[in-house]
Amino acid sequence: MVLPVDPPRVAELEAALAEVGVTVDDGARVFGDLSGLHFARLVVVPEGEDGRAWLALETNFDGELAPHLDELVARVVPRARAAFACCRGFSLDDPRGSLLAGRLPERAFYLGHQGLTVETIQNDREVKRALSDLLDDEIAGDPALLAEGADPRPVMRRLLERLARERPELRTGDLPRPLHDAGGFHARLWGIALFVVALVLAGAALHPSGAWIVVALLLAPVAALAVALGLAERRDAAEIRDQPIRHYTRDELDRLATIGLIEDGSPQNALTHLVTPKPGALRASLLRFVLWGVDQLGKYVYRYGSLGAIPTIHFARWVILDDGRLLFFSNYDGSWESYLGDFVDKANEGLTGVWSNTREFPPTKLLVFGGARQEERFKVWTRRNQLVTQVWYSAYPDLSVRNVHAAARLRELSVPTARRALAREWLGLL
Amino acid sequence: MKRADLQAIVASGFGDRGAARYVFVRARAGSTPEEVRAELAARALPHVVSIESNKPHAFAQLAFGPGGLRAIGLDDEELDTFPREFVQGMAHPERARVNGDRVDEWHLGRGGLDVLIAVFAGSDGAALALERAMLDGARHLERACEPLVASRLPDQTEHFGFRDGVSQPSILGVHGDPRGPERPVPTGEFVMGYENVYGQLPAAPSLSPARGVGLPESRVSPGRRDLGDGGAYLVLRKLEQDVFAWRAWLREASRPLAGYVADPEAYLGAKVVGRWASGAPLVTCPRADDPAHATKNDFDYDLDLSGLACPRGAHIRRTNPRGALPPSPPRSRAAVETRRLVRRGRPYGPPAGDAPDGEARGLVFVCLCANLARQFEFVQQTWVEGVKFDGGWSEDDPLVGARRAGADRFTIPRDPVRYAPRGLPRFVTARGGGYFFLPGMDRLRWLLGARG
Repeated sequence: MVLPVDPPRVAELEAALAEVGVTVDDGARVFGDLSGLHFARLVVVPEGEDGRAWLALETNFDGELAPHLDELVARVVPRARAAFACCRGFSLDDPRGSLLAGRLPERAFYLGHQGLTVETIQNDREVKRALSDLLDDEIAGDPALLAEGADPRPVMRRLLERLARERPELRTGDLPRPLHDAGGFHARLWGIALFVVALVLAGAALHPSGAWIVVALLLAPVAALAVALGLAERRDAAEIRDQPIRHYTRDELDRLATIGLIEDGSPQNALTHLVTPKPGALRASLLRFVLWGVDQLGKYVYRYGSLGAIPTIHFARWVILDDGRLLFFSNYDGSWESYLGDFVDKANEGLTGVWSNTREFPPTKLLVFGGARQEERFKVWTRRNQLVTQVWYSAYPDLSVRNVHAAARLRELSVPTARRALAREWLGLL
Repeated sequence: MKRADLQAIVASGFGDRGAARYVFVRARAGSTPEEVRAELAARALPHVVSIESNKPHAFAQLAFGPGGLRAIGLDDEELDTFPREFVQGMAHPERARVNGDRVDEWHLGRGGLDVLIAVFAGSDGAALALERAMLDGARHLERACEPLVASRLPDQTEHFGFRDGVSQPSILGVHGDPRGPERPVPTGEFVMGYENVYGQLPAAPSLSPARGVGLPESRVSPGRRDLGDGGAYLVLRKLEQDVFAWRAWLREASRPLAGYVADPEAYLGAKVVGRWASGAPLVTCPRADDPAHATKNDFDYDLDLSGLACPRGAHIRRTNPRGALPPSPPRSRAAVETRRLVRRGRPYGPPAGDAPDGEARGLVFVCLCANLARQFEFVQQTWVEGVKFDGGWSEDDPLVGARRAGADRFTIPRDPVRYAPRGLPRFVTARGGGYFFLPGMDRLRWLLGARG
């Protein structure tokens, strides 16, 4: 959600958020007791060229919007009252209406552990911890467990018995994990493919060169688009190439100094990033199209994590503000340098596809090539457009995406088994 | 490739020169940049050797921290063309946060280090003599603190008793034949002015045309004059090693393994390091040390992804994961290639005897790279100190980690039951250090030359 703020009140809003504090613990005082909330943040979106500023509230939650809104109204708004009071037209008498009015649809959304609720993730973490501790305890009592090549099943049985006895509140075995149904997505892809084949066949039936004519007609708009894009890219590249790679302004350095002392405080980090799309209808439509594609991939292809081979993103989303600017939120594992390195080394085409349509992005070729592969330019560009994440909350700040997946697997396997291989895998997760 | 433009340390750690002194120098209060330049040019520059030089019995390498560059006349605008990490310096709170350092424990460089003169010689006497020839009687330069004096340990070992420095990237154009089957890393990973792994020239410091008279046009900052060609960033860290804590822990923590492995202490030490004491890697010698493999570097983790041979958190696997990381061995190797460092460190302090002696000892860690944030700091922050490294839960580097925030565990995968001792002490403590700019020879002469 984004709530408009009159630019003269931005400083006051920043002060109100600074009052809350930047650590995850500070964030927990605002968001910590909301049910099913994974990650949340409050960020000031500074004034753009047409003079509009916002307070952005990002929440990633399980379940339906209505009860979540109730909790935001009942808990978050009173706790961050001073911040919300800075928003234009925000009615403290009708916070629900004001929040709803600020709702923005996400253009692309990605979730690194689709279908796992906060409750499940936290349960799985406790299962892992408890079992690790029990295993340590067993080894202390009987070092012979350290002998190699033993049957893994007796120790597994013993640990599961103890877990059930000593931690009866923890759930093991399969838990519901609703995933986006990829069936419809695949059906649409097949539908489009069959439609194209049908057109080509129809063309062939009507005229000897009909198939070629149909193919040419289908490809013509693509070719036209590629030519228009190529020209635009050449223009953009000429502008960028004459600028030095480095050199931040004083303001940028000040902001980076603030960000530098917030980042890397926990195994997880938040990135908030704001850029202005390049002018023109071509770029605007390409941007929306690529975001749609990324969204589809995140929902239907990378359902078990690892968007474009990046195994460290919990939640990420892009939204387009009313003044056209593109806002990116990410909740990721590890250091900024490591996250950006993954962008450069493992997911550069997708990100270049999105951000090549925004200003000052490193020169690109055919939308998805170049761009983020220009490592230093890309990192400086990202830093330059990064915002301070004033208030940030995580429900499991001590877990990486890989931890979440490993713990879920451990919990699923935590049922008696006669299969040696499964028991060995299970022990390997401890 | 202009090999004569690179300071010699880019190519070599000078293993044939047994003595080394790291001398930290600053300008005397009241000296002008012209005076400091002139004195460095007269006293130090003649002893600085390039890769191509015939090396005399004793010689030097010369590098500058941000304070040193200011002392020879660079201004703030010019310093801002250096990376932020360099300008801030290793002791800055933001860098300390990234590197996991507690600067209040430092003895060296808490207020920054200005000029580093590294002296290498065939004997301790010759190294000291060269240091004194350069600095005794100097009017504008002085020692900022006691020099760090390297010591010699047998068989290229470090104080814990393991062979060190086995795995070094070979640099394209610098090292004639790539040593081993690893392909050489592009020059620009270590030296500015050459293409890096992305096929691009690294960002490099520059001056305005008015101030950079005599320097060529920068190829990365249009309209400016280049200061980077042939230069590198040099990282120096004084890492104190607690040999007695290490030995005591090995004894204590290996006890439960007695009876299940042949030599529990040697086994545990090797699992922590990833190599046996001789240097033989666990991947090729999983059961016992084999000196025939002492300098073996031709191996990968792709057949040991679970870490049963070499634990995923072992020191050499963290600091160079090769093909171990997701999503696949080839993509891991490609990503790891962007994080390489050449190491040029040496031990300091006397070898440890049998009983605690109260002496300080450790490693003068020195490495070179062209991008401090992407290479050195990444390795330190994400691989050494990263508690989530390769799927981990709460573990840092078992050998050199700072044990921040409860990261005091080390998991040794075994089949079927892992051994994961808790409460690892800190064996290595950073006692200081700094980031330096190691200019190319041409730029060094320009920097120390007389000019308007």
